[in-house]
Amino acid sequence: MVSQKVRRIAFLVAGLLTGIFAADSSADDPDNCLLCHQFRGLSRLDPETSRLHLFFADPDYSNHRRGPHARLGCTDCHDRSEVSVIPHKTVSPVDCARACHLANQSGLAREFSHAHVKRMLQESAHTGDVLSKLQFNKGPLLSPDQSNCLYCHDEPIFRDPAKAIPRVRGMPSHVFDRCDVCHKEAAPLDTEYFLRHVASRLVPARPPLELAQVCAVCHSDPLINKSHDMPDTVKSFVRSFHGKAALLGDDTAANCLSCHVSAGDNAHRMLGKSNALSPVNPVRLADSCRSTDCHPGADKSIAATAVHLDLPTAHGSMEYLLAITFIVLTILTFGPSALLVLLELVQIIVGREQHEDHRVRGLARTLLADPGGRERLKRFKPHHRVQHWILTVLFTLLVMTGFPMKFADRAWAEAMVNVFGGLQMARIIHHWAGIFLVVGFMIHMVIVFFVFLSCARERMAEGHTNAYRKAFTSLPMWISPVDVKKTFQLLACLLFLRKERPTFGRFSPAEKFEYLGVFWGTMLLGITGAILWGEQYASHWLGGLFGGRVFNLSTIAHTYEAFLAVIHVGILHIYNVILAPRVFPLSPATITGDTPLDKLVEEHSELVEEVARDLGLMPQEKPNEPA
Amino acid sequence: MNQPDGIPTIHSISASKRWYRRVRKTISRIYATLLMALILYLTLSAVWYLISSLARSSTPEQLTNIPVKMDRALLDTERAAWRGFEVSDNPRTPLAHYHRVDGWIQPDKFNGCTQSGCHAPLPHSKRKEVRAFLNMHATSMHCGVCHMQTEKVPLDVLWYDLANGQPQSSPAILEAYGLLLGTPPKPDDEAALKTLQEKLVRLLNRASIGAGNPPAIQDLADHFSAVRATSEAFTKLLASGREALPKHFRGEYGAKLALATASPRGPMLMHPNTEQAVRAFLDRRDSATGESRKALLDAVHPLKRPKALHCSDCHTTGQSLIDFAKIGYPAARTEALRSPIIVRMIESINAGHEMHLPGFVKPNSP
Repeated sequence: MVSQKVRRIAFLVAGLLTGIFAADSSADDPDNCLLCHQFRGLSRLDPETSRLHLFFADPDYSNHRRGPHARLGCTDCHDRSEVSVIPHKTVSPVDCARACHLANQSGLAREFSHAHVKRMLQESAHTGDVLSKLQFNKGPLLSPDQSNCLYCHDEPIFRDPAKAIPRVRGMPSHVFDRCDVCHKEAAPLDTEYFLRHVASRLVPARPPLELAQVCAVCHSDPLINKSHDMPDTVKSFVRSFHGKAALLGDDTAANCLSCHVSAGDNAHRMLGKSNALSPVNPVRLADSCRSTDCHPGADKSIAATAVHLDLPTAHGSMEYLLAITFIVLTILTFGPSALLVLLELVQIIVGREQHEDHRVRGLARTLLADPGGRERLKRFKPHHRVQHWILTVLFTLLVMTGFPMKFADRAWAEAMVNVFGGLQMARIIHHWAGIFLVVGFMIHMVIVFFVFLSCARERMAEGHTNAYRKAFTSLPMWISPVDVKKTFQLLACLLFLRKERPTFGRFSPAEKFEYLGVFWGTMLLGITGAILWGEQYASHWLGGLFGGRVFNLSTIAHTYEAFLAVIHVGILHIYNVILAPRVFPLSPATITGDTPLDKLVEEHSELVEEVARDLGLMPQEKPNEPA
Repeated sequence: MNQPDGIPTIHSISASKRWYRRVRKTISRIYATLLMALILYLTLSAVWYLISSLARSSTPEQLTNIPVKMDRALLDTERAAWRGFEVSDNPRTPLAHYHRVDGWIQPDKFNGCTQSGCHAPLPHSKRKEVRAFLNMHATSMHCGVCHMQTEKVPLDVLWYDLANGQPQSSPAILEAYGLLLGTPPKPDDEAALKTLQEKLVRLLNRASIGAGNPPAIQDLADHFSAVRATSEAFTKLLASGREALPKHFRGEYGAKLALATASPRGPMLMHPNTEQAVRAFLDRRDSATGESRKALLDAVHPLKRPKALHCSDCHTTGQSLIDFAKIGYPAARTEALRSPIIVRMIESINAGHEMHLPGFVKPNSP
């Protein structure tokens, strides 16, 4: 939308001095056509063909100089002898290549014509012959007498100058103070026209999304694609990074012309891929990708990145197989966890009473009443809780800034991106949150390493052989065969195949599994994220191994792993720590480290007994098994 | 009675506690059921998404949901129905139309003649000389004004709101123009000037919405709100506003004129008590011919004028069938609509005489 600010500046400075609307707009309407054509309703419906004829021409277009054609009169394009008489004679089709005369500020007329565009098209993939033979799925889109230019063009409009010159938004009004010395009454319109005309040339004539809409008219039409043996390239474009950025309103994203028109060339000379001069010809593609505006310094292998990858139709490709692998892994990992949660809820619904060990409850109560015992029963130490909350914040930020890219075509995606001030800022936040997450992960690993060393030393002091192996398997989050066995016991219990519910130590197998998910996910997301972020470096290091497809593979791995993380956290973890009846409305473990008594008794009775033994409340019956 | 470890037995629990426990358990069960449904729904949605991400391939609506054909169907949809339009700053016009339209004539949701499915939103198509001009009036007038019989002279008409079909006062743009044409308060009457400023800004904002948010009316509103009511700039704005506003009398007021019903007073948006006749006609539209068809149509149009009103019945220097002043048109605008030049032009066009537009008649000059 054209900046109101610019209009306001122009109006306020010169308008108030000279009379805002004193400029004679009829200068651009010498035949007085707008007397009638300003009415939107001036139209008719042909009952035989059902064709709608709109005769409306928005007077604001010329009154407010909204585009480069604003200074043209109607009869510069339409034949005066046909349209100056009422009722109009049969109007001949407009020939966009006809010459018109534009007068400059000093009144000198200059001939102007689009005839050369016609010549350019004849050298391009979109020749007049090709365009005139197009058969659309919905039937003819233009009537036979209309210009083929209408397939791509409507009345050109200037874009918001602030898109190109952000300072325009904050421009002080005195910038235009002296304009009226020369421009007199026309100052408001001239300053606005000048600003828009010049500034709009500094950005692409259309934002990437609108350009894709233009291309989609033909390139997403099933009949045209079939008759020209072409895939739906617009559909695949919007599944790429570039296309998704366009969907999210990023004007800097590469658009169709960025790749398909050589630098410095004209869009009307766009060539087919097979033409050796086309920037997307296999011979020139790498250099097109590596142009200074796009991915300078990247290895030539970057050209093998499939910008037009459409997974559903890429059967058998490496990318397709990787996606299937991730989907299967997601279902296999998320499915069982979800099943356990659902079966837990079934127990509540059917009112199944679990046999409760009153002895453990009594012990837990006693321990919780004692400051020392209570401290030992805290399953999460302060540094764990701090790490958890940092992870929570970073994870939330990563999801909010990353998922709009995954679901770029959903209505909420752009709104969410705009919360962060647009895609550019969302991307920066995503990158930095990712860096902090990886750094946090490394710090956590250092802590784990010292815990491991400490365990190993203890084992050595106790005279164990294979102390390091034993230390490793005694790490709190190690998933032991006992955990696997207990998980099956739990499943059997929840399926009513077993009476006794198994109990666990400090951490349940489900919690250990979640930890493993975070461990694996952070590494995978960190590595693939770094590859995608530093594509120019990565193309050198990994290009030889996978070619440019490393970026496709990284994208698939990153996006599907992120999805797994989100559904696991968003559905199961949120259930476990917030929605589960035993912890609702929020598990205190995340704040104080305390576990609710019921949960302690039911799920962590081994921890209760271990602490009770250590504090002498229970006899030391047997040595602790590794927890 | 307690067990040795202090845990109460079931016998010691009073009836109220048992009742409380039962209620609690029921709530838990309902909660668990809802939770289970939610988790199941989310899980299945996630799995469905995963599978469809590889199985289904479609182009997002933002790219393809734009009107590409200028046909009858377009008239039945509002601009907002096109997702491709909504995501663009400057959406392209429907393909076959070159000029910027930023929207087309919108369906009148309360016009019974078109909503019934009998008549197209642009119903006039016969006489080349006038059909587009007649359709032009469909944006600001209900069919009944010209086509329904009434004895009242001038016609008893009122404005109805296109958003809800309810009667409303005269359109904001006309009211604002009336204010601009009135005698401004004295320069030292700060309170009156401020009141005028507030009224103008409010009316211009409403007028902008009614006209589909054209930038110029909104600009004017912004300017009126940006200056001090007692300043010279405000006085200049009043003068320039008097020239600027008539340029936007284009029949897009967010309201339309309709004949008024007697009791309760409201817009007559279709022939009275004809719902059944309309259904009967629609059922037999294709099969009925000759006299039976005529009978059906007569039943649908009990108030139909034998001959529709003529342009010069209203656009006349003599006794106009519309009392423009009564329905809120300021005198200057009324004069423009009844100017002899306009009337002669209309008569000439209607008679099918070839003519050239006089250059001195400017668009909407008051």
